[in-house]
Amino acid sequence: MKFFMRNRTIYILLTIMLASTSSTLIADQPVISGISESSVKAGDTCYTGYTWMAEQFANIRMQADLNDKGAIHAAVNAGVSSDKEKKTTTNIEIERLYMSIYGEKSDISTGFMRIPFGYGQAFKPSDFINPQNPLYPEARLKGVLGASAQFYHIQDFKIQLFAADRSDSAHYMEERSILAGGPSLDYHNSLFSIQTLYAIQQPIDRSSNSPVHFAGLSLKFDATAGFAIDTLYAHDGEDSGEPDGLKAAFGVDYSLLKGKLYLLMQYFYNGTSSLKSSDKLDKLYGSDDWYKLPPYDRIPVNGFHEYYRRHYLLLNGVYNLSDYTSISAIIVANIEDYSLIPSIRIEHQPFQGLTLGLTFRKPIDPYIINDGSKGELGPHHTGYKNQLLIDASMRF
Amino acid sequence: MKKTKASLILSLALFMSSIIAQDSPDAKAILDHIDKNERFNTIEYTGEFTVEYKGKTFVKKFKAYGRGNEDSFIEFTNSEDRGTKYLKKDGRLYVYSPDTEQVMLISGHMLKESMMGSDMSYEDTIENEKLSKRYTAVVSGSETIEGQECYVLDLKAIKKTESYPKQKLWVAKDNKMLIKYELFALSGAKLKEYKLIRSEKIAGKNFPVESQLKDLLRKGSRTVFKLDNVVIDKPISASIFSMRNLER
Repeated sequence: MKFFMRNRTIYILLTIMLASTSSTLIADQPVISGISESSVKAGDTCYTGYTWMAEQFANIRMQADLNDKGAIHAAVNAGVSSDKEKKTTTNIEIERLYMSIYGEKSDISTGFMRIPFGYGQAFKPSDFINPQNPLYPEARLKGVLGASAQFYHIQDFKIQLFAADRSDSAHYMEERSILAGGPSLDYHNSLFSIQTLYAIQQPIDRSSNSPVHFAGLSLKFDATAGFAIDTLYAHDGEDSGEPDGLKAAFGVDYSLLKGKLYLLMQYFYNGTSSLKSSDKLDKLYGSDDWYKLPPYDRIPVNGFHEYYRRHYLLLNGVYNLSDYTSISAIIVANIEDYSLIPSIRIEHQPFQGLTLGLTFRKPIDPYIINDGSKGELGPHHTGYKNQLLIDASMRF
Repeated sequence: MKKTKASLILSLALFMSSIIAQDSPDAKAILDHIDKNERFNTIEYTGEFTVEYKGKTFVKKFKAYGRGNEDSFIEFTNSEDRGTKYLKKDGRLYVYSPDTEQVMLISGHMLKESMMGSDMSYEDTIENEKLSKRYTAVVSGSETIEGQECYVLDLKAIKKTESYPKQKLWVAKDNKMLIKYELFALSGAKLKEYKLIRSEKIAGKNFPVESQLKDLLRKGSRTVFKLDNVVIDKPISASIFSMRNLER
């Protein structure tokens, strides 16, 4: 897992804060929990050949409840890594740091936190504040600086007002904050769950006065199988930097053999794509030798986005060999340029709290099969030909 | 003399019929008694379950709240699952994971899965309705289970959609406590087996505080449930059984 060094002073301040809250402010003892993980990643990249990286990582979480009146939440990522190119480096970053105040029928949270949206199983376009990578469904998502207020005045309804800085989550090339905010509404009953949201965001282009508008709708219901629809529409009045269009995911999941086998299929439509089906990736970078640079050195002509084409398919299967061993496969495919990333993972729990994992990924595209076009999810664009990850994680 | 003989026969017949009546009580009344004993307005307890399977032992601890048989809320407190919460409401089951920090509805097709690795499925936890409304019963005999005289009841599901179309219950003759039960598929295959280990008198009810469940499709597996600090019929805030509480 990658994270970035921010400021060691912040970590020291956090530690002091945790120590002080435990002794003075908080009525209940703070609860510390988390995950510690050792991993070795090896693979063949398109640029430096075979490479490896060893990492020791911990996600340490703290929650301190102030009776029933509020809570303080904090989490840090701490890690030490070493790889073929670099000597051992130490990284510490704040993952969460926020507080919540609980009222009679409303809650307020402010700080560095996650503001989740949507019921989509893997692709979840309406979760636009902290988007998830479908290839890493278990990964903890990055936090954003923001605030939210939830109101529970009507049974089964939640009305939420939120505001957040999207600059980290939206791949914008701006170095400043990009503020977004609005209301959302959740409703659950015995047949379905539905969520709607609206958000207005400051223009990304500094010269524009036209804000970006987002509207989201998410629906989950059961009809023998589980169905989820998750959509987000973006409208950018004067081309202030956010591409107009609809993003939508439609997923069906089902389990067989008394839950031993879980299957998921999801289609994702990316109406904000910058490439047409007939376009090559050369158009994305305005050059035909883009693949000579590693992915982090390439700059797309129309800015960074999560996905550059229009139609994607995700297939996921999990088979539980026993209560302690499972095998899962995820395939994310771009069905326009025929590139895909299959990933297979075997997990085993030798004892309570310890999980051992082995993951293999191999990007595939027409270029490696028959010298066809390079695909978005192929090895040249993703930067690696194959990747093997061995990890051991302990929960505490 | 004839009259005396006739009255003797009549008395004997009445006596015999009363014995038969005692040995073959109304099965419906027994089911009603079980339902009554296991019904409560509210319940609150801490608990743990120990899963033994394939030579490994997993212990899960939790704090639970229940309202009627309809709503329940469970928060796991053991270190590996700390912060994982389940809410059962309106016949649906929601889970909150501290890893994803999001509430997820457990889809109907996933309800047959084992809950937290135990011998209990999600489906077992969300059944709301009373036994007497879901099954018809007949008393098929008497047996002694670990020194306790029991009625044996054979239950047949009223609806075809029932998860376990047949059940067999062993009910203590003295206090109508459910001592043991077996759950069957329509084919007659035995799927699950429950055994009461210990009960306590709480709020005037015989309450099972330690029990064992075996999912017979998981060979060699058993889950032992232990409940502590059981409080029955003490008012619990409605906010406990809410999505809001799940997200906190």
